[in-house]
Amino acid sequence: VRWSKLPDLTVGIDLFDSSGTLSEGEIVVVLLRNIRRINMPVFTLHRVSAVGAILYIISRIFLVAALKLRWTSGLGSAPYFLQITILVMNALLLACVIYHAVNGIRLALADIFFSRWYEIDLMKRANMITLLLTLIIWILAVYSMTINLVRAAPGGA
Amino acid sequence: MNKPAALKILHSLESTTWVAMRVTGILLFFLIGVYVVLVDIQTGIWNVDLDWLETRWNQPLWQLFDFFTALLVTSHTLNGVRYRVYEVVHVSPLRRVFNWILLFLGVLLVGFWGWLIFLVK
Repeated sequence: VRWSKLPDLTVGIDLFDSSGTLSEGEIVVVLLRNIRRINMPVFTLHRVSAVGAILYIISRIFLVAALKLRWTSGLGSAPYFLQITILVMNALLLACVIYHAVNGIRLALADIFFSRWYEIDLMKRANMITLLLTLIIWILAVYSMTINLVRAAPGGA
Repeated sequence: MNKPAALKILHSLESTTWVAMRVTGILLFFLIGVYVVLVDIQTGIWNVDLDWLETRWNQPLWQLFDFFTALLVTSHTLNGVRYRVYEVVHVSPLRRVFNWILLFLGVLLVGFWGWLIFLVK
């Protein structure tokens, strides 16, 4: 389906207040248009964060493989300035993981249980809540990671 | 307020993978959540060394947990990659080639992970 070819059914029609005059196909078109209008940035973010999440997983596979095969004794033995770089990279990748997870849950819930979350107002609200939750979880996680790094520092607490 | 009638979804391999993507996503939310809390927040990535890993993988439950997580991550990721490939590639034989490549990659990754968890001493 080409987005530009979809008829503008949302103009003048409130899907959930209509008296059931829309056909199933028309409802699908309205939902697709809502997704396109509101969710395109979120859709893009979900994909970009997926790449970050994959990099996070790959970094952990490398770490565990390197430890298990005795190639390294762990990140704790790295120079301190390098550990700070790793913290920053890890924090960025973790942001991707958290956003992808929270937004994924929103998508799964909307797809399986709450189809009304595709209504424009609810979609906007759900997107904002997703971003807010991501930010809160990310700040808490980065705070804990920083504390761990400070404790692991030479002469640290 | 009238709710839209439930749409009829044809049962096919595609609809099954669509559901699988959501189910594995929900499971991974909890599994990766436990991993992040344990490794990144509680232990700290700086304190993860061979001793920590050995202690963890000496317990069969953690071995199974990690293997199951790796299995789900691999299937979720490769299925996501397949979706992206299908958006770009519209020729059926080429799609089939990509599917085989992704399947091979999946088996390779899960095999490597299994070898690392259960066999390497």
